[in-house]
Amino acid sequence: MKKSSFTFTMFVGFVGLLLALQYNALVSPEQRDTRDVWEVREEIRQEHEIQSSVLKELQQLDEQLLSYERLKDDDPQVALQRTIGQLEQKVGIRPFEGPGLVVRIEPSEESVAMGIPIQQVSPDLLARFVNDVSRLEYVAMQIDRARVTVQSAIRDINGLTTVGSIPLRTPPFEVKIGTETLEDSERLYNFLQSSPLRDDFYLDDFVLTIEEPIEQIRLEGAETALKASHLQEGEDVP
Amino acid sequence: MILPIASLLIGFVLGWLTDFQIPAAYESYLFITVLAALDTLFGGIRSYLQRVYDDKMFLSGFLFNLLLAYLLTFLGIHLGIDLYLAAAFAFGVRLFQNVAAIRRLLLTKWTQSKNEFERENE
Repeated sequence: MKKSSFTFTMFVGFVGLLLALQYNALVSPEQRDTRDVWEVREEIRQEHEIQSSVLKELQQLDEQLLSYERLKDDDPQVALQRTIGQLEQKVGIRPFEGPGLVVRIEPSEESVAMGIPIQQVSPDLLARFVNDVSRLEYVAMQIDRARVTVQSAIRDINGLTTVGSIPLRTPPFEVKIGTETLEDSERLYNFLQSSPLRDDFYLDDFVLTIEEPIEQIRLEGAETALKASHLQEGEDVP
Repeated sequence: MILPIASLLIGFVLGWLTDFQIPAAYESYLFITVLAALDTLFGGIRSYLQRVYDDKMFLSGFLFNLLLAYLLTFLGIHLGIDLYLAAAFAFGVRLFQNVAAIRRLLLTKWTQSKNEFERENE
């Protein structure tokens, strides 16, 4: 009888173990993490980028706050005017002056030698260029005569490629990109040098010439006023 | 009575703490094993109450039932039919029968002891 009870007790323990295993199987996460080390590193890198951009923004806002406090006793209007100026420059209404670089879009020598008619740069290619440049930080951009603002749409209007309703000329023309610092310009220069964009332009018989970054570059302000259909002017607070 | 319960708890805690995971492909085998084990467990309790409990019968019954159930599951997986459900159904039915038998046996025992107690008092 003793042996029997021992066997039975052991068996009951085995049943407990099985129940625990079944429970573990039920509560185990449904989706398993199958990322490898490089995918995780890539995500960490992206998070780092977000963190650094947020920190930069925070620093700017801190500086702005400091300038408000400094001018609180003097003239708040000056600080507000400055903020308005900064915002206008950010959205592209004001002319920009500062470090930057020039990218020249020209017809390729082969197409000129072969007598291939020079076409306009297609909106798709131009949008691809702007999107690729937007991966790095820039403050202002001017494509030919058109300043790129937050509302600029690159599209085809009656067969003409336009940037914010301003038609582009056929190449050659310049794309001016303004950045906050010269280091940013250099980073953008290196990025564009190694970017597959040059091949994309070459397929359309254009050559992308990226000039060295310079200390001072001037970009014109947007000619058309920005439309703010969803914003309303606030009431004056006494 | 206390030993089996303690053993059950120890087994459960051990399995829980080790956090051992059965691969998803073998989960149906685990499910069948749990059912077979529960069926054997209640069968064992029933035979103990009927005073016909035997170690060899107990363990061999478990192993053979399990083998048959594994065979059905294996075939089912390779034929694309959920054949393990047949084993699950059989074990489920037996489980209910065993539990009902245990209930009847316990009730009979309780009624007998109650009658004896009343007779003694008279």
